[in-house]
Amino acid sequence: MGQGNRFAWFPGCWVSNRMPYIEAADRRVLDAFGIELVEMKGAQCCPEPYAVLGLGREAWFGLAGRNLAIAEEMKHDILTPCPGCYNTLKTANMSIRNDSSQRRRVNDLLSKVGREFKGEIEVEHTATVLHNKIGLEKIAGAIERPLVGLRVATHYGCHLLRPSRVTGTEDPERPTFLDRLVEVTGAESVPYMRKTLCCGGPISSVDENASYAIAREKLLKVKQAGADCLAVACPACMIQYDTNQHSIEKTFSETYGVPVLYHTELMCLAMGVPVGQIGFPHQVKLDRVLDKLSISRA
Amino acid sequence: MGAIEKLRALTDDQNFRKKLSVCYQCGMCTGGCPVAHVRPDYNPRRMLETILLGRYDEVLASNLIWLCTSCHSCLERCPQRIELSELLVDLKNAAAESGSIPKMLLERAKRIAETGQSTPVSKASLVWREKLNLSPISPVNVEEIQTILQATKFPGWLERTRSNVNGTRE
Repeated sequence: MGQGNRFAWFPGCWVSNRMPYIEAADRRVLDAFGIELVEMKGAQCCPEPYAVLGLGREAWFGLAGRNLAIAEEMKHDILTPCPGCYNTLKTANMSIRNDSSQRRRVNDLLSKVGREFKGEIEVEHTATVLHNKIGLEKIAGAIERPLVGLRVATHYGCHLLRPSRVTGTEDPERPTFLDRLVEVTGAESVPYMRKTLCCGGPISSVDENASYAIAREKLLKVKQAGADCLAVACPACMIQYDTNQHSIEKTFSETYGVPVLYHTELMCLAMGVPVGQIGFPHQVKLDRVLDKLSISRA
Repeated sequence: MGAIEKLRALTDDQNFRKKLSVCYQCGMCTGGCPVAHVRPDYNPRRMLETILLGRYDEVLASNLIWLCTSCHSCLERCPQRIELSELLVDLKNAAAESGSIPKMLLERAKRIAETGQSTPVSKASLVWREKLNLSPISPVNVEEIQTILQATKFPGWLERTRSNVNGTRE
């Protein structure tokens, strides 16, 4: 079991290398609530659940087991901003812990590198920690600039919700915890169709058109709902909806113009963190959001 | 063993078969599948039927098994609690063992085996991190990773397989 407010920080490859602004936003928010993040020295890719799991389940378990063992050595629960990492590490943690033959196989592998899986820690996501551990009441007390009037569509990311036997999500078809985290900022969470639809990102390297067509569906529904922005809890969904939005618009000769924020970025705005400190370097400009809230860009 | 033989061996396994044989073809999996909405040839219900009927060549046709986004909607919605998205991992593993892997996935797996990261650490990202007052990315112990991968025969696949499934990017 981990120690109180200290977590083994597992940003994941995408946040570390491609979207460090998400890490910056997470740190600002978590720090405000006394959460301490400890670096996981020597940790590797979670490993990601598409190529590595698809090519070899045992390799996937072995490498996930290694990351879990590193956190166990630190005696901290793992905290990650990425649902992909969250799902990989949580699934592996549960399976290795509960399935004695899987545990034996993983520990055979780990013994070759002088490590051992004991099953002593848990895995959390920034949204689950904010909602379940810190709590809405405490967060509400830290809001200095309520985002009143902002209409936000929320997008959880599949791997934060499903399989629910792994994530423990009460209602994976109609989840509410991210909506509550958005509403505590003073913004309005708007209802819209296909809310739990996948972003399509994982298959972009196998069939880009199909991947974009899936994302298009969501962007159209968000636009139709009249939302000012989309709030995501996943860096991979951020890439799909923000980084790829112009390509998707071009592919289908349509315009969406949906700004996308990571959920802690939205919270930073509400907590009064100056825009310049996070940078908000999105492909789809945030002008609509900042103008509506009369927030300066400095 | 070729991919078809691998799949036959897998689906002949009684435990595997037992999981599938309770399917009554209601189509909830396909109805909730994001890929099926945009690629009508990708049909999870039909894929399961095809597996049960032993028509493995159809299962392996095109790159269909690799189109699952692993969103797990089918798993969550199946009234018979068949975990189709998980069973697809077994099918992918069997295909991969016989060398049938989309090129981009093979490249990503190689990158992880060689660097421990799925996306490369660039100079730009290090500068960006510094600007945001974030600590530099600490080095990954690649030797440990490769020891684990080697023991599972993972790099063997990486070395001897060449993609024979068409990727959309070269």
